[in-house]
Amino acid sequence: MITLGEIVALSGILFSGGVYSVLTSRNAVRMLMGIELIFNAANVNFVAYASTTGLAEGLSLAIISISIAAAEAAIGIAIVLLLDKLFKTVDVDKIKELKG
Amino acid sequence: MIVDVAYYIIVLVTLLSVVGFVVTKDIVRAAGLLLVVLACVAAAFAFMNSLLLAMIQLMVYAGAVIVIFLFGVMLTRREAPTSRLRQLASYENLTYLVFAALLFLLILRASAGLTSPLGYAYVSPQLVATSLYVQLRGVVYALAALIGASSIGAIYVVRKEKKQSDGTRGGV
Amino acid sequence: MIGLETIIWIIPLLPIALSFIPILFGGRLPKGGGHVAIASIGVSAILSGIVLLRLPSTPVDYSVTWLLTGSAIPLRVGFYLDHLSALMVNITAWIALLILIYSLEYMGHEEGLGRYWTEMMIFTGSMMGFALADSILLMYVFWELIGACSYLLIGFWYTLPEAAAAAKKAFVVVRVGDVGFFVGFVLIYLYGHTLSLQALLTQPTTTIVSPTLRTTIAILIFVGAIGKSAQLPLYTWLPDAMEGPTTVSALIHSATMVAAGVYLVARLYPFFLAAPHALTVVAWVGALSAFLAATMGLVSTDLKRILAYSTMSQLGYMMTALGVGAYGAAMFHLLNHAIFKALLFLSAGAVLHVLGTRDIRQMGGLLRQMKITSTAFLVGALSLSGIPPFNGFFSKDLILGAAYEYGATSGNYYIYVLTLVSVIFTAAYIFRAFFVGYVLPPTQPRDKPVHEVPAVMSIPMIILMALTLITGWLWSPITNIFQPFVAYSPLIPPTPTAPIALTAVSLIFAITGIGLAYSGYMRSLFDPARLRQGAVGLRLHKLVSSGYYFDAAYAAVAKGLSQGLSLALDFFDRRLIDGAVNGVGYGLTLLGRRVRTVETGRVRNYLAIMVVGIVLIVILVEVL
Repeated sequence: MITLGEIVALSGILFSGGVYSVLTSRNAVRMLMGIELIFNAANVNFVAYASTTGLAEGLSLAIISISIAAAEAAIGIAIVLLLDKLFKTVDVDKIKELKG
Repeated sequence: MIVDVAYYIIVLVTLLSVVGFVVTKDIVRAAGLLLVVLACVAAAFAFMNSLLLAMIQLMVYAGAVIVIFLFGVMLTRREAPTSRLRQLASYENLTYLVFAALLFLLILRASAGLTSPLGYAYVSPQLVATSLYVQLRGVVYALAALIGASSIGAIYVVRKEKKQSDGTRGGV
Repeated sequence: MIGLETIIWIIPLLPIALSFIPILFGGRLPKGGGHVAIASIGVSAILSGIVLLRLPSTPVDYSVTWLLTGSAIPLRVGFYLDHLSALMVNITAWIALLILIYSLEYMGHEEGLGRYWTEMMIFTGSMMGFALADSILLMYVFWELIGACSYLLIGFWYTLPEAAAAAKKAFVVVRVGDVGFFVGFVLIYLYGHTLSLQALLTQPTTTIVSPTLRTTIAILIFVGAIGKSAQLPLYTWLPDAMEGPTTVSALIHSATMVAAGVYLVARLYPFFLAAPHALTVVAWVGALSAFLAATMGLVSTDLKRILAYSTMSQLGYMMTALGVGAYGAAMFHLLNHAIFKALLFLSAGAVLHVLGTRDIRQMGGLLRQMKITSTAFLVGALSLSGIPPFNGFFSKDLILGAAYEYGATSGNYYIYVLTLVSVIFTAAYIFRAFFVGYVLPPTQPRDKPVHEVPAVMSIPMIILMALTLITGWLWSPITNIFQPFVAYSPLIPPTPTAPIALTAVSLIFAITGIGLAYSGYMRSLFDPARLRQGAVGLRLHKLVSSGYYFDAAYAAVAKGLSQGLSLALDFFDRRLIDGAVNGVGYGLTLLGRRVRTVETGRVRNYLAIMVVGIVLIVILVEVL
């Protein structure tokens, strides 16, 4: 039998992997991809709890979360594109000042 | 039994893909590995008896979001690829590794306490729909309003910029 | 008639009560309100004369309860009337009256005259209160009051730096003695559980049981007397105190305040008698002070300073008398000294008033124009030197005789020798002052006209001259009214009498002193200035004229202490306090510099901080 804990462990893998990649990537796009990983970890958690308790709220929240994540990814990419246009680079280490 | 094995395979593939995503220096390869991860997550959803969400995950994430990222990669400059491993081995990144590991251990500890077996409860789409559009309809409406408003606003801004930059009326 | 109980309260308190008038209304009153002062002191004088005539045969204590302290001993305040206090009150009141009349003219044109009268009134009232006080605490209160008035009056011309410095010095040096007095009477209160004079006088051995404690207390109280009476080693203030007006010097620093120390010992005489060895200390201090002061008077050229050293010396005689057991002689000399010293000072004041200088070398040639003043000084000088029939002869003779008898009984002849040798010096210095200051013409010819002083100033002098001829006979080989009068307690031994031969010896010594001065200055048989030159003479002169280096020593100690203290405080303030404050600022700057490094501008770092924070919070929540 698979326990709830093992699903949460999977979510944990996704979460820490996402956090790590956000912290250690110099490329802005890679950072965004890491953020998506984090989102997915949360979604797995939601569905796991929905599956355990049988309530529909878990699934509906997961759906809402997915849609918000998608919108956020789009906006993030838009910002990254603008960054690229302004600073001529997407290296986050080089983008240190708000002036540009 | 087979179900459990399937789950462990999903976990393994996810793990390998995440590690690969973090380690690889080519960003396109990273996007590909991200795709694999998203697919595994969809499999996990299926495993947990909600095909509905598995479909939605595949459609939205694996279908649209990953394309957005690919476009992002295409449209931005890429700096000269440096050795990612050397970059990862710096003191700073090692510190972050330590903290990410700490985080993971904390979550593991939390998960060790959750020993109830997975229920595999089947939630029918009707129930989901009811919950979404009846109880959580406020959230749905707000989201719709937000996205609608921001789309209209974005179009307006773009058209104004276009009018300022070249004065001619271009087609949307 | 008003009873004695009421009179006794009026005598000291009337001048004090009316003292506010001159200082507040002096501008509108003639002579700055001096008539108020003279009137109030006059009333006190008349009342004290009445008291003297109607004196009860046993001492009476008029007191009321003043404060109820928590312990069983309430603080009483009141006045103690016996022969000694009646005598002292009369001396103070009458001499003060004469001097105040004199100062109507002497101080007549001064600024701040109202202040002068007020301070003199408070002083006289406090002195009389001191004489009449019935508890040691009350005595101490008045003691401090007269010290404060002395400070104010010495510094009357406070704009003069010398006067201000002299006043300060007087106060500080006397204060050192006052500490002794204070500790003494606190000990009396702690161990004797009483402050009342009557207890101490009638039962000294039962009030304080331990003899060593009695000696300690007696010596401590005597330290207070040393300060007030300018004996060794606390004498340095008296010569400097001459910076004040001459009338102040006449009243305070010759007749009354400096006699307060002598009176203190005399008042507590039964107690001192019961304290072994205390009186020996008194005698030694007195004899040494008498001798050293006489030598210092010989080298001074300031007329008032000569008289100041003379006061110190004569007080030394009085202390010696008390020390050798001649209580009666001491009080007799106090009476006589008050009269002739006031006379000398008033004469000196007259000269000062007319000539404007205190230097005896610039005075002189006054015999023709200032007859009364010169005669006054001559009379005073003869009395001081101990020439009959003036009063100084009688009392000094008694003191020397008692000192001789003391030597005969105890084997300690040094006291006698010191006092005897001082006789020569006394006569020498006072006649040196007379010859150089009054008789011989000044070293530079004078352009100011010299005239005799008006009657307001000369009549007190005449009265005092008359008194010097009268009071001596109160206690002579023929008549003896004084001795039984003043011995107020059966515990006090009578003054020992000495063989007549001693009287002859001291007379010869006195005449020798006069002769020395005469031959040196009038006949120029030898040149006194030559004595000052030559290796030995130079050293000796320097030693004596610097006051045996006491002044220098005190100044060095005071300077050392104050410098040391201020250096320590400066170190503390600049290094420690400033260092701490500056250190805090510096530390904060460093801290700021370190903390600033968090703001890198890199997104990754901010995210990392977030993650770290969350992890820490979760761990904390888990752990706690």
